[in-house]
Amino acid sequence: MRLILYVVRRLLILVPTLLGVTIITFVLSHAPGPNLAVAVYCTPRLGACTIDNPLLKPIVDQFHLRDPLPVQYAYYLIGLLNGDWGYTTSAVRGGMPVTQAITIFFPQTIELAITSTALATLIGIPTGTISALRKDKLSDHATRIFALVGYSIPFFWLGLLLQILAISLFPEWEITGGYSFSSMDPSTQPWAFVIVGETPLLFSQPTHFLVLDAAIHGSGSVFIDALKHLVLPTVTLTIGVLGVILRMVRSGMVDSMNQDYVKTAWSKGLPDWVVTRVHIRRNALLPAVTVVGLLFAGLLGGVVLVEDVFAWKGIGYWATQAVLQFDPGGVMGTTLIFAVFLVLINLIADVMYAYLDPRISL
Amino acid sequence: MGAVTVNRPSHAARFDMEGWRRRMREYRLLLRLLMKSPPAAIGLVIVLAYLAIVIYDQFFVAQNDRMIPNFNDTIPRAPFWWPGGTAAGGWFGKTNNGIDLGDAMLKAIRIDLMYSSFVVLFGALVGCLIGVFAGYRGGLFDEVLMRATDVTFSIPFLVFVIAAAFAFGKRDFLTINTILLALWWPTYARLVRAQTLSVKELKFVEAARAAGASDGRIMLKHVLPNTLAPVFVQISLDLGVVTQIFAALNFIGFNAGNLFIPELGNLIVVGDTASFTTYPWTVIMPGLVLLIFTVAVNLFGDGLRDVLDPRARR
Repeated sequence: MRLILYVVRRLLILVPTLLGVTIITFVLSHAPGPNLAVAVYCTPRLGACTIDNPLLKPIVDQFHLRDPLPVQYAYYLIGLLNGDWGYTTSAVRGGMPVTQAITIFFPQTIELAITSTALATLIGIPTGTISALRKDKLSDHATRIFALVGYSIPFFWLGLLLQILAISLFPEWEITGGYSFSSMDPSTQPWAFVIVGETPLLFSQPTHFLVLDAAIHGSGSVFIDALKHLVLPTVTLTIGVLGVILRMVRSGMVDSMNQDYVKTAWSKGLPDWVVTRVHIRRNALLPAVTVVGLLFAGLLGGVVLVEDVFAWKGIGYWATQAVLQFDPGGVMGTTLIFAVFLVLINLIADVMYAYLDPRISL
Repeated sequence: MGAVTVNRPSHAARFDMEGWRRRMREYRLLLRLLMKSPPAAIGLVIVLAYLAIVIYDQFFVAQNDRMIPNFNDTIPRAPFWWPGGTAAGGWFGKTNNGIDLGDAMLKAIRIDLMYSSFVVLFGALVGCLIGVFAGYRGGLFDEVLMRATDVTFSIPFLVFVIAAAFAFGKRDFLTINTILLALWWPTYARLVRAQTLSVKELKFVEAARAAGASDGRIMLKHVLPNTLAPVFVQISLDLGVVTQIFAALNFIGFNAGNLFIPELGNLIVVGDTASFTTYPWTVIMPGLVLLIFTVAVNLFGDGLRDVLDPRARR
């Protein structure tokens, strides 16, 4: 019951935060001024591209460009709540609604984020445990150096480096470059694409994760192709995230190994694995949950770079393209979706922490 | 009518030599403790070496703000120690457009370090002042500030910078710097605010208030200096982060109109345009310079944290 109250309170705190985020995105997309919105619609043949141009009056009226900014913001907020997130021109030639672009690009980003976080956790927790148990031995030093390099390395450079290694060492694997379209064709694999305008975009059904969907549809060649192209971006992100996780697990373990209850457990004569797993590790991992939010913030920043390096068509790639091609709808949409996602992840992490640690007063 | 004169000690006489000596002794102790841990010592030495390069660049290198292309010899050449490298490549090789990597990286280190330390120090200054004010006064300002930092923390930093650059409608070097300057204070404000909340309850603050010190004086002279230890650690760790963000932004195309600016991210782009699979050193070398700096800064920052945390001094 108290947990439910806590969740409700946390959700209420989210409201001002999200309002702040929408104010920021509103300011960002309106900073270039009302003439920008008009400029999208006007050609030089219509005369001057300003809101005073009588020919553009319908557009000025429709988008409330003459109203004061707070009123425009109210309209903007109503639009957001009604699912009208505007129109993006950078995502695909000819443009599409921002909400549609999000449904297409977001699964790609999530796919990267989930696979790399899962991989990093699976490797990081056992390795960090071993490193702490063998403190100041050779394996501990090796792990610490790896962690140090992992969180110091620039994501985009690591991506390029891995591509160089993959091409020079395993050229026959063909894990760099785009999907091989001999096995990927809208006519033979209609489930994997959505046609926007004339451009076929990767948007597989039903889970939107190409690897899973290929397995579901029983298409072996697409499955292998998708898996191969997932390797390098995932490894790049994993190495970065792994550095943080390793460090966290190790220092948490070392801290809790010095606690009195651990000494008691040893002196009771409990077997090694019971003390390690039940007494030390369970308490060491608790603070790790709170850092997940922080981790995701870094991960999403890294995703922007990794998607750019590997031309992975996700939200981050779309964000950079939106800025480079001057697309207000794209910038607004990507910023907003990143923020909402991050806020929700933080909420889940906090609630999980409160649930796991009974000492936390709700 | 005799004028009333107040016999105030002049500024020079007020200079507190003994206090100054005491402080220097403390710093010397910190340095000695820091040098006891080999990783931190290595980190410090590397950071100082980079600093020396910056100073050398600033005063002894001509044309230190642009890379010098050689359009007569545009093909990248490997360094002489590289498999298949020739003496024409020199120590660090040549990248696209005949730019000598050694020369370009030397200049790039100056630009990267100078701009990123400017961003970090300015952010720390602003953040400290805002944080100590919010923590000391509390009330509405504090509440608004915390919500504002919540908002900035809920957007991934890189995305935020990209979006802000869009709002300015420019993607050049100066704009990016201005944006970073404006966005880099919330971490410090939070750190200092949290420290202030505990420091302002201590006895010496009460004593200062009883002696009639103004709020501003208490904040700046008594509270702020006692909140700075975690700030120094954060500054040292942030130097690496900002340098990387800087290079990353240049890498994804935020240096429009200045293709020959010596910057490590830009150097990687230059190498990338000449096919990094054929000439890998054009990409590897600048990245390595960046990596070594970040590792060194992290080592130094971790060592500093251990030294400044009294519990870990044992």
